[in-house]
Parts: sequence; C-alpha cells; structure tokens
Amino acid sequence: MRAARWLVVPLLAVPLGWVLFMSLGRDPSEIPSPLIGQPMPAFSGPGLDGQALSSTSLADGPIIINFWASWCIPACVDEHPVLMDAAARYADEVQLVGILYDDLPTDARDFLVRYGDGGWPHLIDESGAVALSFGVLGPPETFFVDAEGIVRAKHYGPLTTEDMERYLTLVLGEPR
Amino acid sequence: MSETAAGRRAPAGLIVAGLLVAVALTIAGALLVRPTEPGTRDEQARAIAAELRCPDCAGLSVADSPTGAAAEIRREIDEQLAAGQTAEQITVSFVARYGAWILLTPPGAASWLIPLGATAIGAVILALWLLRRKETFTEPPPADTGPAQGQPHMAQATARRLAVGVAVTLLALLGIGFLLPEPFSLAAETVVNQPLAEAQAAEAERQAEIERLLTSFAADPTDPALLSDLADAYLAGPSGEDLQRAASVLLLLIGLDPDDPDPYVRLISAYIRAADWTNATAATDALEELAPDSPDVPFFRGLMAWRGYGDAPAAIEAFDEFLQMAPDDPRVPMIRALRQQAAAEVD
Repeated sequence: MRAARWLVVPLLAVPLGWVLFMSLGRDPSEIPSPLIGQPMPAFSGPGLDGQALSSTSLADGPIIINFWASWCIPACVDEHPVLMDAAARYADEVQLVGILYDDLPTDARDFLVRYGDGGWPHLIDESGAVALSFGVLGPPETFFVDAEGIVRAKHYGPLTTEDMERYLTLVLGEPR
Repeated sequence: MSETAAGRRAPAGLIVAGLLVAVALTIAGALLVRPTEPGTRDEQARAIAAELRCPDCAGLSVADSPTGAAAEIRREIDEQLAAGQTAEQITVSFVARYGAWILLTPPGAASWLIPLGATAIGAVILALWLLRRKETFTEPPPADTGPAQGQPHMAQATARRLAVGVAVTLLALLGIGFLLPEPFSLAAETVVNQPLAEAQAAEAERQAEIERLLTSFAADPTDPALLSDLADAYLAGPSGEDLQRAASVLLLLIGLDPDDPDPYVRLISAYIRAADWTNATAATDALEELAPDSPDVPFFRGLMAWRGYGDAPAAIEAFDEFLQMAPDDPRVPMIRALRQQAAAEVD
C-alpha cells in the first residue's frame, strides 16, 4: 500500500522530467517549421527599387530570406546591423532578400535611408501571399536556404551575430 | 458491524462508477459537438477559416480576425475551394506551411488525453480524501475497539487499493504514451493528425513514382507517354522546384511534338503556379500561335493579368472573352468569381 503510494511520485515525475529534459538546449527562437527540409516556396512580385523580383531569377547559392517591416521596432532595427554585416562579409557566398511584411514601400525606403541600405533586394508583398506561403507569424522572421534551394532553418525574432554565424554554417558548410 | 462495512463499501463503488460515467460523458460530448458539414461555398470557406488560428493576432480564428494576414488566408481558402480542393486538402496546405500550430482544434490524442487523465487522477485523489475523512468522522469510540474492527478497515483498504490501482494504471498509460516512438508518442508535436499523415504518405508515393519514371526515362528518353506521366508527377508536387522540373519535362515533350497544344497548356499552368509570369506569357504567346481559337488563351491571359500584373481592366477583358468562347467550361464559376474580384478593384 505504502509502496504503491511512493510509486506515484516517480510515475508523475519521470514523464514531466523527460519533457523538460528534451526541451533543454533548444533555442526558443529557432522555431520548428514544416518548411525545414523542404524546397523554398517560389515567390515573385514588385521590388522596392522598382525592379521585378522573383525567386527564379536569384543567383545560384544559399539565400537568406528576411521578413521585416519599418514598424517592427525595436526588433527589426536591432537585427539590421547583423544583416548589413553578413551581406558585406558574405557578399560572394550568400544572397540576402528582404520581404516587406504588411508595410508601405515609402516607410520601408525611409527605414533603409535611416538605418542603412545594404544593397540587397526587397520584395513588396502587398497581399501578404508570400508571407503566407512561408508560414510567417510576424516580423522579423528569417529563413536560411541552402544552395540546393532547401530551407535549413527558420529564426523567429531579431538575429544576433552569433545566430547569424550558426545559421550560415548550416547553409554554407564549414565556418570561416 | 457488517452493516457498516457494506455502508462503507458502497461509496467507494459509487465514486468509481461516477468517475467512469464522467469520463464516458466527456468523450461522448467531445464526439457529439463536432460540427456537421456545411453546404454553400461561403459556408464551407467560413467553416475552414473558423478552424484556423490567425497568424498575427492573439486567440482569434482566421474567420473572426480583421488583420491582413487573415484576409489573405480567407482569400486563398476561397480560391482553393473554387479550384475544387476539399476542405481537408485546404487545411493540410496551411498545416504544411505553419505546422499543426495553425489548427485551433489540436490534432492528436495527447491534447485530449492529458486533461482527461489529469481529471481522472484528480477524481481518484478526491475520492481517497473523502474516504479518509469519513473514516475519521465515523471512527467508533476507543472503548469499542476490539477484534471486530478489522472488517471496516478491510473494506476501507479494498476501496483505497482500488482507487490507487486506477491512478497507477492511468499514470502508467500516460508514461508509456510519452515513451512510444515518434508518430504514436503523446509528446509528438507534429505529425499526429490524420490528414497530414495521409498527405505525407501520398508525397512519399509520388517521390517513388518519380524515381520509377526517371529510371524508365533513362532507358528511353523519347517516349512521349512517359514524359507526360513524369510531368504529371512533378505537377502534383507542392514546391516551386517541382514546378520548374515539370516545366523542363513539358519543354522536352513540346520538342518531341511541337504541334500538340496540350503540353503548352500544362506548361503555362506550371509557370502560373510558380508565379513565373514572364515565361507564362511567352508560353501563352506560343499557344495562341498554335491554337488561336482555344479558350485556354484568354483563360491564362486573364489569370496572368489579374494575379501576376494586377491589371484589372485587362483581366476583365480576357475573362469576358473566355466566358464567351467557352460558356460550358467547368472553369466558368472560378473565372466568374475572379472577374467579380477584378471588377470590384476597378470600381
């Protein structure tokens, strides 16, 4: 009788401890997305610079897709230098693409004037259809796509330099 | 004394029976409140939207949310319904992008079993506590203690043993459920719901079919039937890459017989689905040269003008031409709906 009562404690504690243990070491910003391991969804539309932009016209190689908005403060402002730095340092190896999330082109241009324009293209996703095809919940959200066009990671929230290095290793291979 | 024993045995039995009835009623209730299949397309669209979580607001369904993302999802639901997709296929297409998170009704057994299990365990604990209280209140005066007192204690012990047994069994079942391998585990976050699992099985089958066709293709690269099957297999895929591969295969097929308009029609559909408007336009030009009287030409021109270039007047013109050329075509309701949207834009 007494033994049975003591059995209840480990029976409750073991499954609970197991669930907690499995969550250890997971980065809460690295969101499980059904797109991971899948080909990147195709997209096309008008660019912020007036040129049409399409996923099929991008150069071969890894791609970083960054969903952002000028109203997304402070997160999008915080991660902007990280994106600028990556765009400059890995200019020959990875293509950055910005996708506006529920934003006005004029506001987005003002943002780039104020915080710096790294020169990568931005898509105006007016209806939100592109964000929908990527399963975006809200900016900033960043997808890392390898040279084969397969989505390797999805990051929710502002990127830090460490995040960027980790994800780039994932899509580029060895760190440098 | 034996009368008291019977009196004590009854509440334990009653509590267990009550517990079972409560569990059965909960399950029956959950099964009974499932909504029935709605009728019209608007009702269907609303029913699907009501089951999806709005991506950029807290605690609202897509049907009830005023945000842009929810509006876009409602638009896509309507479009997919117009294209003949079932409610299940549409829901799966959203799960494939957002994960099971987007479903307001959680899939899989875990989310239902855990509260059920917790309630059952709580009831057992309550029962134990009630039994013990009764024991303290009806404890005979110390003077009365004698050998006969053993009997009520025995009844008490049986009831308690029973309750503990139920609790331990439930806990053990939950524990085993968590330790089961991935698709069956109660801890599984993703693939527990039926439609998604079916979609994944279908996808695996499609990949196997492609593998088989590619092997035959290597043996005979000029078999048009084989190329046609391969194009179909790629067209059934969900990604932009599949569509590009389908386009390459269809171009091969066109190379084999340049006068057949059918591969052109499939090629244009693939380009439109991949949102590759430049190639879609070029392929439609080629189709028009080959079959100037085909209603497919204004059909595709209208779709491209509306979805690709956002040119409502050009879209309306093309849609009207299509409706005039092919009034009995199965695509008429879809085109009527799109024409209405384009007309609303012009106003």
